[in-house]
Amino acid sequence: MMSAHCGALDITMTNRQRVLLQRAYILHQRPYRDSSVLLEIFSEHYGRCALIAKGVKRPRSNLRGLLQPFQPLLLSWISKSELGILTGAEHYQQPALIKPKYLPSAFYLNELILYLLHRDDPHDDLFQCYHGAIAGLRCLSGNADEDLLWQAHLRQFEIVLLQSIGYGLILDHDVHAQSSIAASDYYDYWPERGPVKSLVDNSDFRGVQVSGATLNMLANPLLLREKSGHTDAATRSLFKEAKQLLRTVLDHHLGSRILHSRSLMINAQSSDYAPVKSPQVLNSD
Amino acid sequence: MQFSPLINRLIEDLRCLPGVGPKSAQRMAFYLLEHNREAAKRLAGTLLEAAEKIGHCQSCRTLTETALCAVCASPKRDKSKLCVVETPADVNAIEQATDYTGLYFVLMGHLSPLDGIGPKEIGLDLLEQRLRTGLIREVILATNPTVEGEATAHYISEIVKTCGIRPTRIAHGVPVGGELEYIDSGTLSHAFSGRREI
Repeated sequence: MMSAHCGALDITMTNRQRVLLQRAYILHQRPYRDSSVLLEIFSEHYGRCALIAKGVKRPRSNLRGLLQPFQPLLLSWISKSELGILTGAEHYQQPALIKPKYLPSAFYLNELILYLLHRDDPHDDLFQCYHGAIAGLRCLSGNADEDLLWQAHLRQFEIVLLQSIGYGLILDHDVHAQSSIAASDYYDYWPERGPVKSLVDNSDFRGVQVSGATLNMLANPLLLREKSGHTDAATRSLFKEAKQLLRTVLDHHLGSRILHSRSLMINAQSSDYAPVKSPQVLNSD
Repeated sequence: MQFSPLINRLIEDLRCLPGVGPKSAQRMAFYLLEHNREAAKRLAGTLLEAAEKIGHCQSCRTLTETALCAVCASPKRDKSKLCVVETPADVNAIEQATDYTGLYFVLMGHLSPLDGIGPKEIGLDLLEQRLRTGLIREVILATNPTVEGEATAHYISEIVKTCGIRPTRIAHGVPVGGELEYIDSGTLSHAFSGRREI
């Protein structure tokens, strides 16, 4: 077998691309004809791609159980046009399962990638971040004290995703005063501009208000991870602000698109169930 | 070769069936026209009647032409058990392979946020109404062992728990008569995480 990091590429005169053993995840699959599926994948060096996997739904296909979302895979395919043909798949690491209560969060990551990334646009850093986020979700055991750690995985992914698509958050300075962020101050975060120190009269403000401490936490991945180990009310409030900030900014870039996975994200740690009424009444992260 | 317009239309219409391409459709059309016109008329009548009359069971949502399907209407079934499945074909598979005597609830799909399929689309409001009748003691979640199936099972289990009912999940593991060496690693990993004491 080839090395896991050895994604070989062969371009022939017919402009046919052959990709071998590329690290990738399945984002979504749809049935195609009788026994085939259409796959949306997120690969390490080729970004989001569309592939057709022929015959994988046949009872004797050995890829049947393999092509599942959230499993680190090595995929090989040939692409002549926008739609590639899957030629091989194998596990890259031992298969591990995400606890069902965190599956909506994992779907959320996939939904963000599908909506915000163009096809065939490589995002190597984002792939590493996705790989880390999925591994992090897999390690969660479902205990209530992991609530902030779970949120930290999602926030980190959202920040790197925005950076990857060219809309990275400005987290280190006030865009109006050009001064550094003070932890004790409050800022109005304008999705299209960045943070501006809150004024008393801000009636025309259409963003989200966050503390300097929240911005500092989001600017530093190590601090975000360190804070996720705390359970005090002050830290929870920082994470709540971080969630509102990222949601506002992402909604700004998503436009009218609705993220259906958000409606499934019953607050995983409190396990409070809200009856089936409408997506808006469910607590989501 | 060009056929008459009506034969062409028949061949084209037969292609709406899964797995039927132009060649198979042509073979079917000529078989019905050359050898079995009576069967063709019967098939046409039955298709028309089925398309018009078959709807969903008011209780379990499976396909039936009556208000209640045969399983829901049967007085012999154990009304304290409810098995939740994804499709009517799953009901058939369980009925043929097991001695389960309880009732069913057919989701007609699974939660799939990336396809825009949420709780309402798979009838979870109706399921919740059924759970609140107080007759059910156990809900067996028999959705497929895919990530969407697992997410659906978990979501339903939360509803079931709030109704004070015991949710159970069908076991996943190695097939009977299989050899560990040839089983895919995902299934084997599932089987190990779900091991039980003997």
